[in-house]
Parts: sequence; structure tokens; C-alpha cells
Amino acid sequence: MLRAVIWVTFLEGIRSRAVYGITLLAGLMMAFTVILCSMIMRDVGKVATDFTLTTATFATLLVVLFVGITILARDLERKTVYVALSRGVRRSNYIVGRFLGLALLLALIVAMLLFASLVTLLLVKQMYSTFFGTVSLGLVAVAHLFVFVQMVLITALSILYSLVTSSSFITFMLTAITWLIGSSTQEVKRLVESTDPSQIAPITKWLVTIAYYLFPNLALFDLKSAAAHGLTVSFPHLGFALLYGLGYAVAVLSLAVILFKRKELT
Amino acid sequence: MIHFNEICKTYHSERRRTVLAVRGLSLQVMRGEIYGCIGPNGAGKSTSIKLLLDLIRPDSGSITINGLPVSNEASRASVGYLPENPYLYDFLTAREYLAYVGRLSAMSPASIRSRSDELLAKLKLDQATGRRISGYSKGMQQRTAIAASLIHDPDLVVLDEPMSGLDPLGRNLIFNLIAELKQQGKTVFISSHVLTDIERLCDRVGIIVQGRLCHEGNVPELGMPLDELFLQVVNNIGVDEVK
Repeated sequence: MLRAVIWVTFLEGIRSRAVYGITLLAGLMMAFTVILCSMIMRDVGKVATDFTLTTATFATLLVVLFVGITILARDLERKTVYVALSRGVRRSNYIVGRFLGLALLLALIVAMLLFASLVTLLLVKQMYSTFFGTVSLGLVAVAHLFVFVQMVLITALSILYSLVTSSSFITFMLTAITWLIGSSTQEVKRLVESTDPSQIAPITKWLVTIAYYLFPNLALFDLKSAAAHGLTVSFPHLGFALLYGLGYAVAVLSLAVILFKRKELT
Repeated sequence: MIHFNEICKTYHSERRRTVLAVRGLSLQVMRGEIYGCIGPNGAGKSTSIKLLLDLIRPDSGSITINGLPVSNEASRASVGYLPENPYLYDFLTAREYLAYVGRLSAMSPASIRSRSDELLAKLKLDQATGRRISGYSKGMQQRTAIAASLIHDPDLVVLDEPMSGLDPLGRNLIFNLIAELKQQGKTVFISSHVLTDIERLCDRVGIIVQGRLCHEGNVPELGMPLDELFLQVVNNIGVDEVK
């Protein structure tokens, strides 16, 4: 039963025009990286790595926002969910199946983007070897894995939001806002902590602290700088980020399951 | 097979209004029986079906299928359900959709294939199985949804407005299919506005008005045509409510 839900979710994703459009756009952006690098005379590798990883992050985020969100919201709106639940599929299995199907779709897209990124970087390296610098291709691959973990977490949150709101637009906005806040809270908190306390209102400090603990810390998954500068990232850091991301996603998904079990499907 | 026991269900609207959709509904459907549930729009027929399938929960009372409470998923393992205005996954073909639904019921790939072939041929969809559902007419979509509700050969079939959106040929096809289910000894619970079909197909009929079961009886013993009885019951209730 679970596999059937995963399968149909994955099919819905790969047959969506939005996924084709976003993947094509990402491919064009990767190709543009090569042209962009011809205009820069130093740190070409850093710019190319930054650009390809940013492209991968935005493309997968767009997939979550335009495909991931609509899948469950449309299910509830069009009542396609009735077919599964009326034949004894557990509500928890349904939510988990939808989530895993989307995760599988994201895994495929990230794998394609990783391939495109590596091809782009190798091409740029070939063309501008003198100015390429020290880019770690291994870390580029790990950075893509963490883009995937980040988007899995955002997908879990979007599922939760779909169940608490009545419109997919609100879900879209909440997911986008969560991503924006989650990507910046760590930096903002550091800034607040390093600033003279007399120059910051206590309420601001308090709000930043609340946002830091309430929203997921997505900066943990951002390995762009490390990959671009060829820095080493410790295994404990990677392990912690992986556990944090998956643990957060599981916690959010559990909450979504509890809500869905109580939901009246009128 | 089905037992509704003193079911009450209230809906709460966004403007904090409450609507009593089902009021103390008690009814029983026996194994192998074709039960017709009729009533005017908004009488509580679809709500009763949603309660039966645990899509919504009652405020009070209990519902069982084969003695199991409907909150237990196992009670619905052998239920086939056709929703009113069914939306299908239009990115799939009819065959893929039936495969999905069959897998939800833990059917083996071989039995999904053979059962799909049988139902698609019976419902005159075998020429369109390779096309995506998005290209189907309303009637073809309705027939696909009916095939999906029967793919796992359920013991209990719940049909909410099965004739909706069908042309006379399609209606005849579904009529024959329900008659076949009756011959096979399946239990069928139908909600419909097409009283002539209900009268011809059903063993027993229940008239629901304003959330209450106002009349119930064996079809051969109704004593008058169903449409007349229906009007009489609905009009009497209307007068009672005004009083």
C-alpha cells in the first residue's frame, strides 16, 4: 500500500510540466555558468561552484514549492485521497507515502543536477585551468546531498502546512517564508550576538532567538563556501547536519500524521 | 454487514454556524442486499457515506462493517467506493490508475492485470486504456472510477450517485453491472437521485430527509411507485418541520 502511494506520487512529479520546466531552466543556468566564467579572470572555480550549487538549491526549492505543495493540497481539494482511505490505507501510510514519493522525486532531480554541475565544473576547469583555483569536486557532491536533505526537510514542512491551511497559496507562502528565515537565522543570530547590546532592542534579540530555535537552521546544509574554497568539512559536522535534517523532517512528519489522523475529510 | 447506530453529525461552518447533517441515524444493511439510500439534496446521504468510510467522524453513535468499527482500517479492506463526482489522477492512463488502486488493496500484479482487462472490457474502456485520463470524457472518467471501485472484487460496494454524468448507454452499462453484483451476492449501498434505477435494482430502500431516516422498506412492499412515496415522505416531513 505504501509503495503504491510512493509510486503514484513519483509518477505525478515526473509527469508534471513544472518539473520539466524547472529542470530545463536549471540546465540552462548551468550552461550559462560557462559563459559567465569567461567574463571573470580570477577565482573562476569558486564562481562556477557557487553558481551551480545556488542553481541546484533554487531549482529543487522551486520543485518543492510548485510541485510538492500542490500534490497534497490538490489531493485534499479534489478528494482523490478518498480512494486510498476508503479501502483501508492507514492515514499515516498515506502521508508517509506522499512524503517518500516526493523525496524520491527530489533525489532524482538532485542527482541530475549533480551530474550537470560536475560536467559544468569540469568543462570550466578544462577551459580556464590557470584561474580555476582549488575546488573540491567531492565536496560539491556532498553539497548536493545536503541540498537534498534541506529540501526533504522543507517538503516535510510543506506537508504539515498543507494540512493546517485551507489554501495552497498560504502553504506556498509559509514554505517560502520558512526557507528564507531558516536560511538566514544563524547569520542574523551571530550578528545580533556580536553587536553591542546597547545598540539592539531586547525585543529584537528575543525575536531573533525565538526564530533561531523555532525555524530549521538551514545554514547547516549550506556547503557552498567550503566546496568553492576547497576547504575540509569535518565528518562530525556532516553527521550532525544529516541527523539534524532527517530528525527534524521525521518530527515534522510525525506532527503532520497526527493532524491528518484527526482531520475531517469533508 | 453495515450497522449505523444512532449516528449524529454536526458540521461547523467558518461563520461558526452549526449544521446538523445527520440526526440519530440508525440503519442496517444485510449481507448480499442491495440497499438504496435516497433523499433530497442536502439530506445527509453523502455525509452518511463519508461516515461509513471513516472520512469524517460522528459526534455520537457507532458504525460497524462486519462487526468491526469503521475506525479500524481492516473493516474497509473489502470495500469498493465510488465517490460522487470522482476526480481521478488525470496524469495516469486508465490501466495505470487501476494498477495503483489494485496495489492499494495489496493485489498481485497478475491479478491486477487480469481483473483490469475484465473490467475495462466490461465498461467499454478497452479502446482507451493507453490514453491519459485527462483526455477522457466525463462518462469515461465515471466508468473508470467504477472500475477502480470494483478492481479488488470487494464484498461491499458503496456507490454515491453512480449514474452521474453518464449517457443512456453508460447508465445501462452500470445498471447491468450492479445487477451482476446482486447476482454474485455482493452487498451494495447506493445513494442516487435516479429513483427508477433504485426501484428496479434495490431490495430495500431508505428515505433520508434532513438527516433522519424517515422511511425504510422492502421495495416490493412499498405499495406505491417509489417516486410517489418519496414525494409523500419529503412533503410530510416538510409540513412537520414547519409545525
